[in-house]
Amino acid sequence: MDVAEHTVSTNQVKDSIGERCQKLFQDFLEEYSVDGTPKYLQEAQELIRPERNTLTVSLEDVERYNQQLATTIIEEYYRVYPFLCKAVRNFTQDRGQTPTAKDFYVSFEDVSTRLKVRDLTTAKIGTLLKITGQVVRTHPVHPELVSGTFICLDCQTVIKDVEQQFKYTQPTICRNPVCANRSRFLLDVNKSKFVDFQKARIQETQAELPRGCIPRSVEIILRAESVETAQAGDKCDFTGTLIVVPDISCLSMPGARAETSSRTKGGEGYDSEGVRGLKSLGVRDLNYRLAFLACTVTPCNRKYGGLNPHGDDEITPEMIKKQMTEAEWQKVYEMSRDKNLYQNLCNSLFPTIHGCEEVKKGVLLMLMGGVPKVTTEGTNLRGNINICVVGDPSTAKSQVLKQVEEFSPRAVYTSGKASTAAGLTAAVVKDEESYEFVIEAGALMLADNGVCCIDEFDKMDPRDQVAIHEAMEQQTISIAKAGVRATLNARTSILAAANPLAGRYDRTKSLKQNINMSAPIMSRFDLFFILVDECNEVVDYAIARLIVDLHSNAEISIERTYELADIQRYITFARQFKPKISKEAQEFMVEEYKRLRQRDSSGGTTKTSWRITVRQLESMIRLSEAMARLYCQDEVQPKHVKEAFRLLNKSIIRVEQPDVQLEEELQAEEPVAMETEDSEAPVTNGTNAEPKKPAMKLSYEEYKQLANLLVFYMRHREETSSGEDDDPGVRRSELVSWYLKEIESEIETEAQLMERKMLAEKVIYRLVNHDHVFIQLDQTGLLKKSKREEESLVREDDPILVVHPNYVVDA
Amino acid sequence: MPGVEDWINAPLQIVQRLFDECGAKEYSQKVEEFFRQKTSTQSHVKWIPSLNEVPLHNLQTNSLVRFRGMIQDMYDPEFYLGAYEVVNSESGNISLRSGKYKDLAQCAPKEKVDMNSKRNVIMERQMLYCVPIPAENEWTKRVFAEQSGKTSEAEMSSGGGCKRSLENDSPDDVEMDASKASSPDGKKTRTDPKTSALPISFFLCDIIPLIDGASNSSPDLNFPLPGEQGPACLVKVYGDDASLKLNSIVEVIGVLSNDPSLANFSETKLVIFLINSGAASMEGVEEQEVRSPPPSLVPRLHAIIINPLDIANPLLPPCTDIQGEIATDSILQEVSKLREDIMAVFSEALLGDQLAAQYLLCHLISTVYHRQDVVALGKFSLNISQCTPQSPLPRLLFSLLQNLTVKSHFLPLTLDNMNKLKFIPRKDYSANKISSGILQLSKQTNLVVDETVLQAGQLDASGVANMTALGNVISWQKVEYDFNFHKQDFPTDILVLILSEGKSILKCDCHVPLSASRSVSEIDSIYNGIETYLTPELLTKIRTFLTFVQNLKYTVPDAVQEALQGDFVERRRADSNAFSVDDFHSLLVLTRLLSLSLGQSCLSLDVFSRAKDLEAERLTRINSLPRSATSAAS
Repeated sequence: MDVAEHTVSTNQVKDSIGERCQKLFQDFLEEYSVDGTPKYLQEAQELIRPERNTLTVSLEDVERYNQQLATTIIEEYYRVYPFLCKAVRNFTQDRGQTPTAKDFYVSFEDVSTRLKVRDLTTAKIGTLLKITGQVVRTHPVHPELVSGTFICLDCQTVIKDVEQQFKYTQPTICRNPVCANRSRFLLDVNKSKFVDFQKARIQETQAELPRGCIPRSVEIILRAESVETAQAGDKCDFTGTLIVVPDISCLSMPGARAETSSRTKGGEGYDSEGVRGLKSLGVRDLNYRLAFLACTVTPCNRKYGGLNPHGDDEITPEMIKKQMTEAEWQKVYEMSRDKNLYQNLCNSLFPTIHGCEEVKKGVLLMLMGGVPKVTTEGTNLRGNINICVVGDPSTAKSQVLKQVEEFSPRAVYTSGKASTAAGLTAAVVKDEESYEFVIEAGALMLADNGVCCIDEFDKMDPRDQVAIHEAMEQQTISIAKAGVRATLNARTSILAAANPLAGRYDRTKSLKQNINMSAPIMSRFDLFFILVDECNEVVDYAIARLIVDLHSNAEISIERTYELADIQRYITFARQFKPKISKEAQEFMVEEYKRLRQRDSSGGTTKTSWRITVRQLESMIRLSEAMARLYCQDEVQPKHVKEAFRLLNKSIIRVEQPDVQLEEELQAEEPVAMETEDSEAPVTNGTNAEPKKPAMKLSYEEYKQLANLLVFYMRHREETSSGEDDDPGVRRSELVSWYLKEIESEIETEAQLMERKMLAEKVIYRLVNHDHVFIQLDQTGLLKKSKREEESLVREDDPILVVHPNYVVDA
Repeated sequence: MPGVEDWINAPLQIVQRLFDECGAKEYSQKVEEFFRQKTSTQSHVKWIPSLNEVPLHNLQTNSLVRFRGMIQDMYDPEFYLGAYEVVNSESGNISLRSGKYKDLAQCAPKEKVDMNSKRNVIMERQMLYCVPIPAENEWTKRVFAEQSGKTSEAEMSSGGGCKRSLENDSPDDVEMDASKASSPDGKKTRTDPKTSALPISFFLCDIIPLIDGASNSSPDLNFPLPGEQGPACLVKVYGDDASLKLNSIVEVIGVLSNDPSLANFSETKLVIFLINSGAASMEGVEEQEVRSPPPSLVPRLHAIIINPLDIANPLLPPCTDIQGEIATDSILQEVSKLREDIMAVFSEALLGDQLAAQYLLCHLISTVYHRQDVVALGKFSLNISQCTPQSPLPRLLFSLLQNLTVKSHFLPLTLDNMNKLKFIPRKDYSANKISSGILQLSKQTNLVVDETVLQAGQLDASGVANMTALGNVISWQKVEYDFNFHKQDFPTDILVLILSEGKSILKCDCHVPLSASRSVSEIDSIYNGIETYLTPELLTKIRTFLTFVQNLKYTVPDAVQEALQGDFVERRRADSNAFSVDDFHSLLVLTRLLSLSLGQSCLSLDVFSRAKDLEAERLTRINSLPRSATSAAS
């Protein structure tokens, strides 16, 4: 009797702080009320139910009630914890009929000190804190002996309430004074107290990991009601305290022998020795292991991962704000005030990529995203923005994608060449251990609520492209394979990069002809950017400067207006806004849409990649919303729509109307002429120099119109004269004169005639050498005069032109 | 003052003395200062036995040792008693002891540790799991050993790499050491029937799948490359040193702790096995096996001094050394002669192809010198195509490179290897460790990929993942470690050389089709010739030269910068399609390497035009290839 109780009583006598806390805490539970009703009464009464035993208390409430008590709890958490639990027990027992033997536990939430896994040091032992990490492993729940009842095998004395801490602990000595038994005891399972116990392991999150280090992990001990609240893969906040424990293996080793130990005072944790059976040799292991004793678990996928899997409604910007430190919030606030935010963010995101301003802006808006909506019929309208970048090789497409992958907390990078439909969406695989079919997440699912970057999109099998249809519009993935039928969420933005079909983007062809992509897929991209490797001296100089700099001095520091972490935080914050479209913005949108539509239907010669449809309107809405979010505004204003429209316009239409540079050909022609006719060089130069004066430029439409006219005429000629063998075909001069005749009415002066003539010749030249619509027969007479070969190859000054047989007029 | 023997054999006494003198706060610093001063000269360092060369059973526990290795994994920090009180039960004397640099408390027979003392301090130390430098070549090991002055003995034990099991398979091998003896017998018998004179690692590459299957029963020391041997080591680091990164090479001087009592855990394990034969609740066992492996297999090393060993070439003098400066000067003086020699050797080795030899040299001295966001600058992976399939060229070439470079590994890209080998390191959560993969290599390791052995066939999922990983290494110089729930990028710096028949399936920075002027049939005599040509002196010079120029500082004068830009714009103006930004990038890298290979750390326009000539010649070669081969090139 005496021994066991003696220790308890000495504890009580010694720890006056604990006692005081118990009293204060019980007072708090009884007195603390919000709007006149005691806040914790209701919850305490629910604890009567047999499966409940934990009372959750907000530390903020405690702080409001008694600052000093709160401080003591935080600083001496491990020491006062049993007393707090006692306070809860007393409080509950006062209110309802709970069995006196039942133990109660307290758990705290709203703890402000948040630590990273890496910050857990010895100084933190025993204090109340919160850590965040990704759960990587959970162990099965098993009962843990809290306090044991033993029977002495020698004298049958019952020894009650032997405190157990992390290992099986027997009484040091039988409390019967005459019995000298120190080792032979039997545990009376029925009279001992157990609590649910689970071990889990959390790992440092990716965002917190210093470069070049392996994520650290820490063992988490969950007890009572907090067991089974964390699943492997979850990102969670754990509130509790750090403790040092002896060898963990003892925990899972029933029957291990060790001595009883009592709790040391002073917040230093346990005094349990790391004994490994070598005591007799006088050798002692000095190692300890660290564990985190958690009382509260809260899933926190919304931390800088930013996005909540349970729908956006649950989080408000305020909640995000709460998770930030003061300095972080200040920075975010500062950023939202920045007048030049749009540009600054773009520059800070892609400091090393030169040019491609529109793409950068588009990607930024993609990261912001539009607002997802649910119609009254229950259809989901996606808010994610999908972007496709088509471009010549070496125009930094992959770099943009890689950069986004690096930056965005939830981004997956995959290459179209290497991924199959199954790998991209999801696959049903047989589990190696259990032989059950399980669904293996594909890239799209992994990027749920994030960005899926797909490089070499065009190289992807068309079937695979189809597979991501659903994901792009419905934002789900359906699987029906091997008896598994499931619809999985894939709310991801897609950032795709594709190469043009011919290796280089051909401006004269439409977007559709340039890339190998089906129309339905194409229509699901909100923005299409075409990067053409432009030859421009100014740009070239800038690029050269950048590259040479990069290669010559290794220590250049790139100027970023904002740090990446700040941008991440800002985006997370800004994404929580759900801007509504204002009246003016609505009108403006309608206006712009009408304009787009009109141009689409009227412009006969323009071949837009797709008809301007409602989809583009939706895109415009999404982009406008993203714009409003960027500035953390609750309302979409016309200026946002304007930028959205500008981007949309750039992305669809710009490429369709490139000015055809006729100047280029002239330059290209020159060297050729020089080489072949060396002696006549000055002459040719002279003739060529003349037409250079007026800038020869045609809009794409004009060029196309002219070309079509010519082709039409040629085709007509060919058809009518198809029967006659000796028709030599159309000579170039003939074609030109025909053209001039056609437009006779429009010409007034001789200069104009000359100009038109030049123009026609240039266009024909281009059609021959550049677009390969016409075939120019420079040398004729192969067939007829085969006997006298040397004379047969007559170089024609005025070559015969033939339309390429494969050419289709596509006006 | 303690003598020489003293600080090597009983370092803990010094630690305790300093602890007593300076008190708990300052003594750690004093300890480090003391040992730094002791090891400031190379000759003193040589007195310290090296774990890499001296077998473990010849070393005394609690003595000072050296170890050279790569950080393969970083475990969670360990908590220990930094200071503890010892009570003498006879005299009643109480004394405070330092708990640093040891695993076990030191008590005299009558003494007992007072675990409840208020003066006990719990402290934290980092744990690093280090493996011998992967792919380290034989000569590197040998030179390291020679420098330690333990030539004869070291020759035997350092051969503990792959050679020993092959060459002197004498019975004393088995008796060597518990750790060595425990290596699977199967491995030995399999490597035995070797008849060829080719370096052993070839065969190891071949039999990797076999070994993998067979060695399951043996303790897995988690070496990145299969078939490697050497001592692994659990290094405990005091003080938070953020500069220690995964996969970096370190030289540790510290207190060895391999007391067999540390291993007594294995008994416990046995008990658990017996109790839970159902294996249902065996959690933690695997993990503890990793945390506390038998010290005879994985000794603990309490680091007092830990130095990053960026350049792991034993021939290269440390730059701070005055002697070193003289040595580097002498290297620079004979650069042109040396370069000629190297070119002669390489062009011979590449069947008389001068151009490919130039590129090979540039490739060998490339290194990632800077990272700008996702771009790794300075990487120069090389693809030499038009190698005859099934020819011994790749292997012979590799054996040559093995003799010249510090670290190299040969990877025959067979379907089987692609599907079955582990390329990507993966986090094993049940054991809480990184299970290594081939791509976990330290900086500036040469990886020679032989694509000529590739045959048509089916790649499975892991094969695809492996190829993607290899592709990522080539194009971004990073490896994505698989953390199950997410992937984590780790930057790397692996020099990939691909030998292939057609253009390689992996996109390299540079593609050179081989144009052989000598017939493949003469290859044996060619390589025999090279072998006789490479005298030991020349070898040493070349080895030094390669690492030396690889790490030279490189500058581009402003005037030259201007010229480079001008050249780019000029060429673009001429034909925008023919010269892209990427081409410019790689041209600049080539220029840099060419300049360095000439021993010029400052770029001159002359070198730039030479680089342009090289590129022009290379492009003509590519364009003259059959169409089918080049269509994929664009």
